[in-house]
Amino acid sequence: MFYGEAFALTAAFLWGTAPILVRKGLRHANASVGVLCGLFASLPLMALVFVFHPRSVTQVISPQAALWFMAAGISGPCLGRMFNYLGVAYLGATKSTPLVNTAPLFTAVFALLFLHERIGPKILCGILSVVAGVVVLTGQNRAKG
Amino acid sequence: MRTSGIIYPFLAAFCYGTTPIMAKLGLQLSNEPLFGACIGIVTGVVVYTVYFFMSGQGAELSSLPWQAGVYFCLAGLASTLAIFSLFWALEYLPAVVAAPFTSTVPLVTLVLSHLILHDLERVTRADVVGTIFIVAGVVVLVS
Repeated sequence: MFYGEAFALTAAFLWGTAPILVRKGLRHANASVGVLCGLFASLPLMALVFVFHPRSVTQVISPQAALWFMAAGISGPCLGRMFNYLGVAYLGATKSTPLVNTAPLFTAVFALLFLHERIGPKILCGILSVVAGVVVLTGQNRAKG
Repeated sequence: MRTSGIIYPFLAAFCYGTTPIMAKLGLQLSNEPLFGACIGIVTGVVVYTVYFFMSGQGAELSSLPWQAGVYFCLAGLASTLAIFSLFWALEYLPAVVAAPFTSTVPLVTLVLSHLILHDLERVTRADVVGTIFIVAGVVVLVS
């Protein structure tokens, strides 16, 4: 009955654990190697999906859709993860992770600039809260020089 | 905390922020999120591996301590399993309900940092306040 909530919380826990593990690994190696190891560790899971999925990938994925998914793969698991690990390497997991999670702020700003969507009071409150958090987190950085 | 590194989390946020838009465009053409995620990750592996070796970092692998390899592999597995968990969550919940749950990621990292990384990082009061503001704001934005 609470499967959905349980899976969503599991996802949050796993995503929250990853920077901790990366920070531990960064004691012995650099971020670039970390990204490569992490990506290769995911491959067996991908293989399981391709093998056990009831339908063939070529039956259900159009070439044009595949191109969008490939672009998403370069943007997220490749570039996003690389910058994420570099952030953990430079700032630490505690400070870097909240800043990485400001992604919805970019989405809201893009929606305002390019889709000309209206920003209501609720969205404005969200944006202000995220910006305040960023100022507090990065402000202590400036204070320390 | 080094000032020069501040740009990296924001670049990551920019990349992670644009990824769902591309994934959504793909899903509008073929509504198979699991396959879509797999195609994306496999592409990421291929592109990053080419970049890694073309940029002359191959030697780093041979000197990689096993502890680091284990931590990095576990981190990669955690991220991938998180994607699958989110897909399973979305089978039971609408995205607007699931998103606030996954927005709590920085709080998880904050608590685990305090518990596990105390020899590497010090969690300050500003870290706690800043993280709470960001999580609250993101929950409002995504819900």
